[in-house]
Amino acid sequence: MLRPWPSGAVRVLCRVNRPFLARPQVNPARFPSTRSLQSAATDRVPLRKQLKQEAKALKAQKKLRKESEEASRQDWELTVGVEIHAQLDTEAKLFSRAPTSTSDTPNSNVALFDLAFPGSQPEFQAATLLPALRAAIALNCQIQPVSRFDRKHYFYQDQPAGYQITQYYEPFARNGYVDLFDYDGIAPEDGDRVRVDIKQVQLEQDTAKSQEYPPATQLLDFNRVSHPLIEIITMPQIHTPATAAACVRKLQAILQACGAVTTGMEMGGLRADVNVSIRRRGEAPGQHQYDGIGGLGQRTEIKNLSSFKAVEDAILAEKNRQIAVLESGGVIEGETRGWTIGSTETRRLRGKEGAVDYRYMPDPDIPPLVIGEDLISSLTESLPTSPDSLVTQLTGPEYGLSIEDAKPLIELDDGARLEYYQDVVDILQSLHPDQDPQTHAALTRMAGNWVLHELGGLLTKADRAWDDTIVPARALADLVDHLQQKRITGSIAKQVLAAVFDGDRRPVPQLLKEDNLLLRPMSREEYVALAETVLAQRPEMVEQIRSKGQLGKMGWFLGQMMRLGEKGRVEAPKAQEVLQELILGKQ
Amino acid sequence: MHDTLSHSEARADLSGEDERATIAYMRRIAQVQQRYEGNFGYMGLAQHGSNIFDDRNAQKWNIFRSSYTSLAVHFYNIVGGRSFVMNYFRFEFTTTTIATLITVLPMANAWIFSTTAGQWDGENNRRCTKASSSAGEIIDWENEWGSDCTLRVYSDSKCRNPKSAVDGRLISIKDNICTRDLPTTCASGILDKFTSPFNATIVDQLEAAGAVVAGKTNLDEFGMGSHSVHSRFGAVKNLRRDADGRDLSAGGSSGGSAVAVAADQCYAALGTDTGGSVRLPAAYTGTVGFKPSYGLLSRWGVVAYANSLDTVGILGKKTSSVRDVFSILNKHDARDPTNITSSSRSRILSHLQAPRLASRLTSSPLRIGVPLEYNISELTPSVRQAWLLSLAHLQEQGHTIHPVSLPATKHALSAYYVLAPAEASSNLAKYDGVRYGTRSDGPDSDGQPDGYLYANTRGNGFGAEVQRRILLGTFSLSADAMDNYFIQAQRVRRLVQQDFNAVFAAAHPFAAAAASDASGIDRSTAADVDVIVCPTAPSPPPRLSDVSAGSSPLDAYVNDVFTVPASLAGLPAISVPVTVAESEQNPDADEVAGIQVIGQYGDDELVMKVGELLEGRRLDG
Repeated sequence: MLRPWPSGAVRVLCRVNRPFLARPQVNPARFPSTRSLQSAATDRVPLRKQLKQEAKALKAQKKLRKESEEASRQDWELTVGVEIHAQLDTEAKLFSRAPTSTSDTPNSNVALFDLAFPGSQPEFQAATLLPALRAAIALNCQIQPVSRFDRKHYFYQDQPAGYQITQYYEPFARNGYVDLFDYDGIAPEDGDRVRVDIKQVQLEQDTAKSQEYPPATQLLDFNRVSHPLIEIITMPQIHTPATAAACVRKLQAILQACGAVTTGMEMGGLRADVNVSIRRRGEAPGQHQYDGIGGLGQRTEIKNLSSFKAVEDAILAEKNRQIAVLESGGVIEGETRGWTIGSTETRRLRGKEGAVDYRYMPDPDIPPLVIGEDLISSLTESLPTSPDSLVTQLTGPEYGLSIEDAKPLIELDDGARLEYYQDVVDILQSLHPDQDPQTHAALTRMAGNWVLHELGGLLTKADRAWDDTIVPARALADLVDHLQQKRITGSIAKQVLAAVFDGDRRPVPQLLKEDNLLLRPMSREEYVALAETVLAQRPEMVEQIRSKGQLGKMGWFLGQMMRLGEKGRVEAPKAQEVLQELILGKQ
Repeated sequence: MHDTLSHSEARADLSGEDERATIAYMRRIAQVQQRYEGNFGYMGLAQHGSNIFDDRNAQKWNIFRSSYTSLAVHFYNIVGGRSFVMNYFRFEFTTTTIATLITVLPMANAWIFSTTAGQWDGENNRRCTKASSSAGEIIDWENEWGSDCTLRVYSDSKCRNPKSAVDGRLISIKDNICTRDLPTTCASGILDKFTSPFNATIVDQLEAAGAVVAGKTNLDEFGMGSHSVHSRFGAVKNLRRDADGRDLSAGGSSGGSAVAVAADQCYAALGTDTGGSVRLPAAYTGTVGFKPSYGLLSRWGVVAYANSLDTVGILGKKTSSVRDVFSILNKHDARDPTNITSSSRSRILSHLQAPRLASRLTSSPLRIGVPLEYNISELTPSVRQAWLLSLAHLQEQGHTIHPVSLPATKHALSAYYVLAPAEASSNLAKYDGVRYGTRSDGPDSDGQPDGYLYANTRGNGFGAEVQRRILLGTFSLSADAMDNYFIQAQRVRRLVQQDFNAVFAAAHPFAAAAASDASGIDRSTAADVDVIVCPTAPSPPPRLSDVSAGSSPLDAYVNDVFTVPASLAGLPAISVPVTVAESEQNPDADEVAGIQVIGQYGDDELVMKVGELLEGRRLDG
């Protein structure tokens, strides 16, 4: 069953489709629209045939690619380290009282220091520390009692001071980790769990937003200057592109769950850089090392990846490029590369000789950041439950949900859907306090199904955003309860849900009663009578079932019974039972 | 494309609260499209920004120029080029004088008059009659040509209720301190048309106390220099000349402030002292120059050269006038993150009120330290003589002289010339002409398509000395040199601080608790002095021709050898003029030298008091 997504929440929850990354020469469907136009004009291949051919070619290519990926994986070990920049959810900028904003009139929220006016000085906004700390705690980091700010120098017009204030020498958090599970979308070869260590988390300033109008115009919006960011640096411990993408996705989910950030990658609130190196398996360890991990090949850095797919595609492309270079006897240069969405190869931005010496210098105007143990512990206590523990909880005995249902429940609507679900379960629990665990699990599973799929389906169909008042939790709980008690049929339940969704505010029990929807169980005699009526319509089919054992044809009779029977009274299992009895005799 | 932002609108916007003002200002600028010229030109925003400033400044500068030529009222063009004062008018106001002014200034639509009394348009202008106006008030007045005049009324000591010791007094401001009403150029080409949208805290504090900004004074570009010769506006000249009548250095970098004081053009002047930039000019011009403890005076609005060393300093004819200004500025300012907090200030205060330390200012004789390492071979005989006579004078007054050792001193100068340029290279990275300041004409980046947007702007805007220090700092911060230079220099800085802590009887107020146990033994064997007395500079002022273009920068750097240690340690230090009498018959042959008094951190009052004991003494050999 397709899971319904509200249109507003564009989120990547489940595993993204493995990217289609074909080499140009073997890619016949690169520009499908142009191609189909041409072919229609020339050789007049029927559209259906053409689509079939294309699908076939795609499949073949995927297989080919999968095989070559596997082959190269046997020969080469890929190593990836990830750096994430995430905009913190704060009211003020990092070093001025100017408000943060993403949508205000350009250059309307700018203080003197943000523009690096002569004589202006930084004013650290302590409140910006809170989301940063929440993130670091959620990432299992050790918060440093004392950290400091440094200046990272480079000239660019989006950098008013000529330097960015960051935490290079002494970041505020170190030594964390993030656990990635199979349900997070890690590569199959990584098994069911991978732990990626986090080297450090640092606070820093964002730059101004540039808008290019080629060839000769560029607009600058200084509203973004000094927006607080955290940079999260993982250890180079990732070995597949899919797991790297899963890592970025998981980091975003954790940051959102702990309320550290407002927007994700899709809104530009999160950006990733990746370090990519390869080394031939079975050879002596490489000569290179970074972030304390040695034995690696020469790495390149791919900057500014702005989607999960870009992370995966860029790493894959860069890995293949490096393999191609090495296999043809070349040498990998330590360089910075870029990635354009939809391209097949990373492009060189600047080489080693053009490498920027950032001339890190402790900022002489900003005092050290001293973080007290009491602040850390109070933030730790107030931290919302992590997505991973929620998954464990939802898939555990208490709720018994499948992982496929648990994940969207957690991630949809910033947790509002989960809260709603828990309300429904609480009400069900209060209706039947002494339920045995098995019945309870069946009930919670059913509730999950209705919250996600039935209610979700209605939302999608109506193109409405999530709102927990459209169908009050109480109404849904009553509905699920009636259904589970077999006091209404499934189709009635759907019908009633739709009515409530469309604004019927009567309490569900009253509604069921007034509209005469409660199931009045049919007697056995009634079932038999109904069955005999439908059987009489097609005696030859009855014969076929009996003689040739074509049991599949029984479904037609069942359907007829459901249709002919009084609405909402025919229970499919009972009807089936009677049909079987009448056709095949008592078993 | 030109915005229609007019002069008066800009003023209205910028006169509000700083941040809101900037926001409004930027919003206007945002409406202007930024434009690259060719592939790699500059952004229109910058160009436009400077256009706004252009207009405003053009009016200002016209006014100043006309004041030189037409009025010649109390204006001393001392140093060639722009020495210091822009708007120095101090005379009794009558309707006639105002009318005269207006006759010669028909083009003026913004003008600041300083009157000596509260009533500016009557007969009795010397009387402080509150009825018509009050001190500090700005009065808009329309002249007969219909353009606006602004009169600022201030009162002086003749008023019955002066607001403070500097009420009505003229204070000159070094031109690297931001003023809203006057340009702030830092004597640099890159800011030559820049006016800050806000006042430095110290300027606000002075104006609130009734003082009047006399004008902005010349300096070495961004405070980098020891002779005030590295200025867009030309070198500052000392009032004194050598025996052959040749021009002498006024010292730097606050040379303009020192000369303004020496020429009696103001009651006191503000300077900045990063490695001696207030004390050295004081020594060369025969004035008093005081660098307070680091962090006592606000640096908000003081254009940064080397933040960890930059200290606002005060110049005056006498220590008493310096003290007047210091007591107004010595307050916490939350906008300067390096400013000492109110709670730390009270800690210092209670530390100083311990009986042993409090008595130094009243009864007990002082223990004067003489650093042996400062008796260098470069010391000229006249300066050594002044030093000896000063020590002898103090001894005569009952104080005791003790040799002390400051062994790290010989490395201090090198450490300073690593640290200060390193911070400077970082601080000056912001000057690109994009958001403010002056851009070079035409496309920038030397015609390279991928070049920087401001290669030419920075190349043309900065003078040679500034460029030299930016390069020095860029090198010492580079990954390969960092450990050998910057980190090493920081170690030396720590040693210099330890040297001072080892010889002063008073513990460093912020280290007092921590050090009381650890260094207890050291302290008993140390000299335990109250202040250190030494020369400010190793020689009298050199000839301007010897320190101008062409001479080795290293020669200039040597002048800072005695002033840099106190800067590295953040200690209060004062330079006072001491005269060595040549002969009774010929006082013109007297040599004046600057003698420096250095105290423990927070001992600013003691330093000024000892300075007062020596200031202006004519001592016989």
